[in-house]
Amino acid sequence: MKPAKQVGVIHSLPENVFGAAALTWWAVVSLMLIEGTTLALCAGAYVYVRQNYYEWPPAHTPLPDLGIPSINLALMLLTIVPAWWVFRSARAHDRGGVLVGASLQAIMGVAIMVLRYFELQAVNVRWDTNAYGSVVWGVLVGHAVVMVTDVMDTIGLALMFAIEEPEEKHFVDSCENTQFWYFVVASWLPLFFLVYLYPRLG
Amino acid sequence: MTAASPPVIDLPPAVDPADHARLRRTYEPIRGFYAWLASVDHKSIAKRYIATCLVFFALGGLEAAVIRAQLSRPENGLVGPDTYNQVFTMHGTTMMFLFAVPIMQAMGLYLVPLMVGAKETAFPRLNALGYWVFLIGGVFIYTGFFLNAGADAGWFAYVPLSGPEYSSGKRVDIWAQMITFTEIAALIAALQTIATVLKLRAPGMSLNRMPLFLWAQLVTAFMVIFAMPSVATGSLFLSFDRLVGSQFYNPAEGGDALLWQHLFWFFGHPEVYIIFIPALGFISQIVTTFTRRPVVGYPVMVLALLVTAFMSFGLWVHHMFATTVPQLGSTFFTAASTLIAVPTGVQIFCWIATLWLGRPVWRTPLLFVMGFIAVFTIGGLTGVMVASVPFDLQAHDSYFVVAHLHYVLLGGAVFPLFAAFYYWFPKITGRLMNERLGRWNFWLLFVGVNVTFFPMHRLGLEGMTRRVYTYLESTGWGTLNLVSSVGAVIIVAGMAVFVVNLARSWRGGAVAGANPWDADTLEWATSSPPPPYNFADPIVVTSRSGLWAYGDEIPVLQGLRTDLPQVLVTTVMDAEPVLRHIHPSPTIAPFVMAVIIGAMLIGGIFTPWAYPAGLVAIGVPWLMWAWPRRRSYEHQEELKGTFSLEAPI
Repeated sequence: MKPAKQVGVIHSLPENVFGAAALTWWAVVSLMLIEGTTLALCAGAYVYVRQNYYEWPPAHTPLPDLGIPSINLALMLLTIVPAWWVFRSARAHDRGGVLVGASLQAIMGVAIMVLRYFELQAVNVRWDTNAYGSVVWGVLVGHAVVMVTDVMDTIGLALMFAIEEPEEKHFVDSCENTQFWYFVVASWLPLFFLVYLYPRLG
Repeated sequence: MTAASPPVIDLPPAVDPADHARLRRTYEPIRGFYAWLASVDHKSIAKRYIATCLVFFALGGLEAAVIRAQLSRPENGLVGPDTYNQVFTMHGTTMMFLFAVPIMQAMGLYLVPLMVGAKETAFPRLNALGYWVFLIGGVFIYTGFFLNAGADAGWFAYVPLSGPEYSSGKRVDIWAQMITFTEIAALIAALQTIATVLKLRAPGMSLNRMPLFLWAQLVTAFMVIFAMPSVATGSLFLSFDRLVGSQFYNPAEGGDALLWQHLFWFFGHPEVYIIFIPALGFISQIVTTFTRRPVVGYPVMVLALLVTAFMSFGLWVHHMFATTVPQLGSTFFTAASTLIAVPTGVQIFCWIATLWLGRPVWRTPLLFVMGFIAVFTIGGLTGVMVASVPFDLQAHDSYFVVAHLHYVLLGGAVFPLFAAFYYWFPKITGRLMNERLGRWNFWLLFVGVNVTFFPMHRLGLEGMTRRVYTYLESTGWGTLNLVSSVGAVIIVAGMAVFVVNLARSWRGGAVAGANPWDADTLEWATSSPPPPYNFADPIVVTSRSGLWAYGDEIPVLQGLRTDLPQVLVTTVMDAEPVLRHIHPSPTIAPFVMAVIIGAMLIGGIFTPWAYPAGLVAIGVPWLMWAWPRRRSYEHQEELKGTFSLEAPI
């Protein structure tokens, strides 16, 4: 083997950074691509099955309710505030700020999951009634699975920040967790339109 | 999987040779069985992956042998129709989901970090999780098979055959859940590759200096990310139809059988290229090394990879020409299916030009490359034939298609894979494989493949359909089937020679040294096998020619910690150093998490409550995984200084 020749030093490079320079950012973006593709395919299945019906929802199937789903949507949009708080506090290495924001985000996340359960009643169709019911449940449950992973992650982070002195990388992780939550909320908007508003367009 | 250790020579370049001992302590903190279970070393994980895939390859090969034995003469009674259904389904399933895709990714998991000059892959713990999930999924479907619950609805499990009405029992459920296991593993591997290639490249290895193998792996990883969710979604819908009575694919309730075909083939056709594009990466590196010159037309080669990947997502309907897809749609897919031959053809011409202009050294890896060109080209040409709707309607579901797909997959994946085995075996084990046996291996495989599969073109044109467990003597197909079965025996002989070569070379092959082929890529700049930390100091890349561009010394940067596993993170485009990222230490958490995921998915076949229970249980290994652990820094001398380079990269 040829001998090494030092042509530079990298001692002073940081050991943690925020944003696209960090490896975690790439993991989270890849996850968004994977989950985003999955949700798009669920939506695609919904549109594909639509072709098989003259009416939508099918005859004798009531329209989905708007009450609880709208409340849940509003709550989901509201979570952006604590998520943004976590993001800001993490960048400032503020342990207390992250703890408060993540705790609030986790509580709201659990509330959203509970409301999602009631949303499944509000769509007024069972998963096994017909293909319309199957694709509606497919979209709702598919998005719920994506959501539950981030809610669990947020609970874990809140626990960690409450019990242990976080390492610097955990502040980076908090930021990335927030980014994923933004994706969870943003991806719900077109799906909400598809499930609750599109059938009302006639 | 431990070779008889060759003498360790040619350690990777280090400014301070004492770093080797420090790094070894850091990267091998524990030993023994627990260390094996908790290992996050990409080389160790990848070797397990490759070994596991080869076991599945052998099982899939045995199933193929049963198929050929059964069909070797008319009205044969070796196996009955039910067993035959399971055997051909398991053969296709094994070869596609448990061998071809994962082994291409596993080769990447071993080679990509070395070729980018990194100490590790981007997410070592996730990497371990992916392997364990894959292993559990593979063992699961084979356990079902050995218990007479083997999948039996074909490797693509078309509904309604695979639906609740026509496939009772758990056979298809096991198949559908195995898909979920392998998709998780494939997506994890893809995520690794993307982050490793884009962020852990050696300083100076800008995108336009990246070896073509890395381009191939990167492109494939993105394809996996967009293709795999489709089959995962489709198979989950299938599971729900079967287990909880949903109606996704039930036409009687507004569902659609073709929805399954769209979801399956939106994955299934790119999958062919997910297998094939990494093989193109192998070939480019091997042709470069054995012609002693860079591949002709580097920018064209990169563009061809990108175009192939992009176009591969626009072909899936050509698997559905015999369904009710609109004619206009079929026309588009015919055009796209024909057009994709162009970027592949461009690459083949570039390799031929490279061979023409270089000084080819005809070692075994290059022989397998030539085998690839011959066999794959035949498969490609019949592919252009079946891209045409009128021809496809005649050949659909016949042995012509069986011949076509085996020419494509054996030519496009197995030949390059064997080339890769012979080429990188010295890096993995420190020993060279035997050349004489390698040539026997090649010629037996080359002759065997052609004798087995060429007659199938004729059988298909004569009307022999796929998946029949026997045929009447009056069809006149007996002779060609017998020839085909004799070919299978020749293939088995070729494989046996490979196994003998592997075993002999593993223990007593000639010692390879760091760079036995005088190759140009960075994996050859470290010892064979590489130390646990791959490289001591980050190597600086100064040219697309990699190692060939250096004079008497190898330029490196200094300043990564030696008391902690630390990797250098660089920028996406120009690979400029930006971060010293501290990597995680070994842990058993990925293994525990994989076991829980396994229990959840297997339990999900019997009760949907397994999913919420599993999701909650996963929280435990997640906390083990992520909980902060104070690590000692006492070995680290204080390093000071500002980031600087003596000369621009």
